[in-house]
Amino acid sequence: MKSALKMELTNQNLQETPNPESPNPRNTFRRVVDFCKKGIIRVGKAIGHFFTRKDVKSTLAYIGKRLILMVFTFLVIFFICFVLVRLLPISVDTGMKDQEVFYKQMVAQGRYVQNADGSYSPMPIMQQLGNFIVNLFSGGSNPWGFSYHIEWLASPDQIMARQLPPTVLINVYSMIISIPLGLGLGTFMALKKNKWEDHVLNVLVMLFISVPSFIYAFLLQYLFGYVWNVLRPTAESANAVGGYFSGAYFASIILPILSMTFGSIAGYARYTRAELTEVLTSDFMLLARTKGLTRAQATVRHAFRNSMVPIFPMILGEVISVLSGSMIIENIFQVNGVGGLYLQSIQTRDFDVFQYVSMFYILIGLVGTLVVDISYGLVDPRIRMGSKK
Amino acid sequence: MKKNAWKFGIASVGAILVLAGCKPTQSSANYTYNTSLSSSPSTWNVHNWQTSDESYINSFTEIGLYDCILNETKNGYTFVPEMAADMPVSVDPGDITDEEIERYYAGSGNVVTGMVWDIPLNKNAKWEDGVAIKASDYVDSMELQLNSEYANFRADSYFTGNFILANAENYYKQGRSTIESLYKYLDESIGDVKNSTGVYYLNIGKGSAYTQAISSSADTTLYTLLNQLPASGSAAKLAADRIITAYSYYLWKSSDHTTSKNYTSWLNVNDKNDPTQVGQTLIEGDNVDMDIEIFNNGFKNAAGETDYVKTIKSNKESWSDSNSERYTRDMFEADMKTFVASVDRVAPASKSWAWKLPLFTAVFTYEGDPLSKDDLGIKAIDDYTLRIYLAKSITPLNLRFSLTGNWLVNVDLYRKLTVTLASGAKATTYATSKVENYRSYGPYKLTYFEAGKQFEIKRNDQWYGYSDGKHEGQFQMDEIVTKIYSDHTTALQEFMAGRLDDIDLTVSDVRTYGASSRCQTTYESYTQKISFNSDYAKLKQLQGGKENKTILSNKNFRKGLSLSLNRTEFASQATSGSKGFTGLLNDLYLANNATGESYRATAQGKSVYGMVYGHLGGNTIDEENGAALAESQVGYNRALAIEYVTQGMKEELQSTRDGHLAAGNTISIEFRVYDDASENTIAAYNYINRTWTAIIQSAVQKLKDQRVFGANDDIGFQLSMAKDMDYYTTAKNGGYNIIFSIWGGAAVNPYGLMQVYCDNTFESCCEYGFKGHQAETMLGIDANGDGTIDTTSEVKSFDAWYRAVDSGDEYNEAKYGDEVATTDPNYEAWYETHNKKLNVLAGLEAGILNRFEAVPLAARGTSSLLGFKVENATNTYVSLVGYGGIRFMKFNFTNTAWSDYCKQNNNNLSTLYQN
Repeated sequence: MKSALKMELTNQNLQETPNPESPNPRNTFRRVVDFCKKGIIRVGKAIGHFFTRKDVKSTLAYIGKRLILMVFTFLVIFFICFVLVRLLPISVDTGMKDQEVFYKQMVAQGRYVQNADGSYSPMPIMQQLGNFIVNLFSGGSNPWGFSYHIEWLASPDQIMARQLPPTVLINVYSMIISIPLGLGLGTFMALKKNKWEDHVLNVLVMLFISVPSFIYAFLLQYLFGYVWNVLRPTAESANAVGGYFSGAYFASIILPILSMTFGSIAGYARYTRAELTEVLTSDFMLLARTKGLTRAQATVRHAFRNSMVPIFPMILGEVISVLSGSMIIENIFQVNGVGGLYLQSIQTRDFDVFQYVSMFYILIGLVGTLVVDISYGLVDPRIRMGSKK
Repeated sequence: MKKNAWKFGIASVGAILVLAGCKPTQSSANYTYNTSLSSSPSTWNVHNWQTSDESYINSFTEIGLYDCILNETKNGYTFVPEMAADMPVSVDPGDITDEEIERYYAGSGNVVTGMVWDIPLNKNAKWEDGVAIKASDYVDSMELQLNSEYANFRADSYFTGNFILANAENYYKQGRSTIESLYKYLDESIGDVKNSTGVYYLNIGKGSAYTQAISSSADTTLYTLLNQLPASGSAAKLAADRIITAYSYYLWKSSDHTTSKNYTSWLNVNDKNDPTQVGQTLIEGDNVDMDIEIFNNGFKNAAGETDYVKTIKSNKESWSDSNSERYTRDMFEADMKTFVASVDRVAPASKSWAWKLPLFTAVFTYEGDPLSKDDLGIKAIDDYTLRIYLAKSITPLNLRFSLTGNWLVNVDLYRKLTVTLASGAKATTYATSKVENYRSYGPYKLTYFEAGKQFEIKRNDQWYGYSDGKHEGQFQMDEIVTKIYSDHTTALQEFMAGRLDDIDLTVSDVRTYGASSRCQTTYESYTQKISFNSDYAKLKQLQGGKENKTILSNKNFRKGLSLSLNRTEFASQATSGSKGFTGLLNDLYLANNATGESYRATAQGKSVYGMVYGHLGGNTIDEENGAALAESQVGYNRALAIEYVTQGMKEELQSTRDGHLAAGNTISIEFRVYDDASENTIAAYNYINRTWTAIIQSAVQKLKDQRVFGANDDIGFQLSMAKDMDYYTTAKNGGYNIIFSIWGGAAVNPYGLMQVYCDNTFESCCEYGFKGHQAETMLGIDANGDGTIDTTSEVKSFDAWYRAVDSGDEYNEAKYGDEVATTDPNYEAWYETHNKKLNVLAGLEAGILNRFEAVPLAARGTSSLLGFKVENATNTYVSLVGYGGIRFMKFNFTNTAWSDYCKQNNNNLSTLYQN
């Protein structure tokens, strides 16, 4: 490992001439842009490197194992979810407005059985499960059932597709803001460790981490939306104001974006500070400085890169979770997203929608965890996955 | 590079600020009404709507043939033709052709005045796309409304109530069948049911009309009747035991019980290999309809093999191979004959076919010749004249009431959006999810719909009303924007910022804004009541350990609890706009539809309070001579409440019935509510809990003082709240202690509402102890108002009184006309009938209230704030038309002026709204 590090340092010295400019905050932006460019190239190289490594076989085996485990976990959760949802009492009030049609529809969906005497009774749950799986893979129409309350006779996937854009948009905007700000703030805190700037920011970071997001969501809404009247307190209906990328829509979702951003910024700042503080005190940093690198060069090129090992997977996890919504934030700001859909499906007893959305969330969670775990190996080749030693 | 970095930073911040400053696209409309709902309607199809949210959109975008609107003096209502060109014209029965009689009245020839009507249609009525609406559209729409394949929820609106379209019910029900008690539909002339399919079922696990006729209880099962025959070794007892065993054998063998919730009990039967071990719980729990042909044909058992029903040969021996034999249909028939003859308490028991009386049969709800669309009682005479054939005569006033709703849909679009479900049933997505799925034809049209977020309704330029000269000064608003705010606090803040023009208030909001000049209360025809389960057996089943619930069956106890509730205080603390009330029918119900006279304002309506609280004004129990409780007390007398609760508890403590209240018990009452997190429900629960806890503590102390039980013993009280979103169904089955039952009906028909309390067959009756007993519980009513109750003609069951007043000829005032003037020769006859009918209604209401199973608390109303931007036509609430509605709403501000006004007030009008 030491030789790898040495080689890396040597290569950098060969490739680049030391920057004659002295460290200056005005150069920071340029450096960040350069760093991002190089970062992308390095990630590409790392992926290439990853797949050409000698232990790639064991890594792929590990990924395969994790995939199987993920599928198994998904099936177990799906089974539990399916059984619990199907145990919930349904009646004609659940949706179809005519008793006879309702029961016939339940029979057609494999949930009820019509007895010889003409009466209807629920099918045993395992049989229902069998029917559901057969329907799912036989390409039958609406294998996930229907919505009866949220949108009359629409399939859950149709409703989900309609509700996804606002959720994704808010999450993406939030990510775009929180990642650079969080990392920047964390770096600043690490560089100013134990100085007053660090202490002040630490207090703020702890405050935003400790206080639940809905508290400052309400606060933001009240202050910016109703007291000072500078921002829209609730999200607009996208198509009524020109679409998801219109200025009016963006203006109306600034507050939910901010509400989701504060916690993330604080989280990234805290992690970055902790990791960077540790790396900055490492021996190789001293070596880098003695080899003639400026503090900024050493920090950005070496310390920051190393500190990214635990942070990058966090970012990756957030990228994947852009599909999932925040139930509370969406409810407060009336964002018509998947978080609200989940709540609504429970409140209205739209069980088919509830089951679909639940499974969607679970799938995102599992895929996110898997990708994050795999990414450790990508970010830091020193981390061997699937090694038995 | 450095400069670029700064430029980029400045540009980014600038862009955010510019975007933040962007306002939503301003509408070009001058008068926009902004409002909100808490959830989005899943459909607004007029054929299917169920909740008020689902009828919200079409209340703007559709309009009836006639409309009931605020009158010129703004103190009543009047009717105007809308989609109709003029008032309906009654067709003389003599002008009805034989072909029409044959088609619509099945050759009965019984057509009287008021059954056939011609309605001239408005020739200027158009869909929003400009296509004319003709009579054929109404006919086709009605066909879709009643088409059995669609099974539309609102279909019964055209074959129940006053407006019964000829052949509508049969058209809707053709091809459908249900399993019913044969006795209920028995036609003695044929010894069977007219529309029977010929398939008979045995179900000894449930009650039927037959068991009720014998035991006077709808809950008594055939098993109970069979099992309670004296075990004297008689032939009847053997027959009964053979039937029970045969049925038990079928239950035992016909299905796999491993997944049954009663698995352990079934295991016991399996272990002993003995169907006689099945027992009452499993029989009544499984409650299976068994086709009696199974006795001959056999059945597939749980293992998939053919099996035949067996039963005991003799009831002197236990079950064994030697004491069992195959049971055939003939044997069953013979045993049934023996049994039915032995309980010869129903009239046809001696008939040869009487063995079928305890059975069930599949009844075709309609089994005549197939009906076509042409047989429906609606026909287009020409493009703009609609003829309606009714099965029951209707008065002009009632017809106009009935036709304020509409069934019109855009037939082509409706059919295009029809899907066939996996079950084979049809459903349409017409009027769901998007604008393209719907066509408006009212004063406004739907222009934007985003489910769960917002919808917009704008002026419909194709509507005739904007150019016919008859609607001048009406429908001033150009646009209605409705946003969905699931969170009330957000909606309230939006209102205070001036972005909403009305807001419903919660209990806590009323404390802040209740005194506002902009606060108005919209009353509903609902009465909020506590419904008690008073069925001793059911309550006993529900209690366990040291809990006691059976005390709820004690009338004195319930009466005490009722008297303890200060309804005025309850309404102010636990409701947002309701008012304390002790009756079942509030001020909105009309005694005279022509004059708009409220039932509560009549002498009869006023007399109800006295009939219930006439002797409850003192502080000791004196049922005969007690002072009247002042009306201002609204049924509240704390001192007497303690007396009655004490009396009730004493009676129960001294009872010898199994499961009665004992010292050391806790009276544990579970309050089932729809939403246990709702602010109003929590406030209501807290109020009732606080009140009853105090009353029962006082009663317990009294009982201790009276040494009814030891000083060291105690009786506790616990009122718990349980969320049950299906609590009406729970109540239907008796699985509750108390619930809030909130019933209301058409304000124009107070008599119809009595069904929920008095109809013996009404399934959803919430007073479980009384349910099914209405036909046997007698009530004396001074119907003719002579001051005495004639025991021969004025004592009837609750059920009989209800049926007489709802549909009986004796109380049919409509036969004299519906707008009878004092100069009319029929006036006296009408007046007498009218008063008699009101006497019966008041008697029924008092009769129900005096049982103290349904305890009214409040007449439902909702308080709301109306924004400064708009003004209602009147500040006085008028039955049927409220404050005048959007038709007469006036705007104090244009959109721009309102925006400026809000800005001047810093977009915060909360202080202004408090005054």
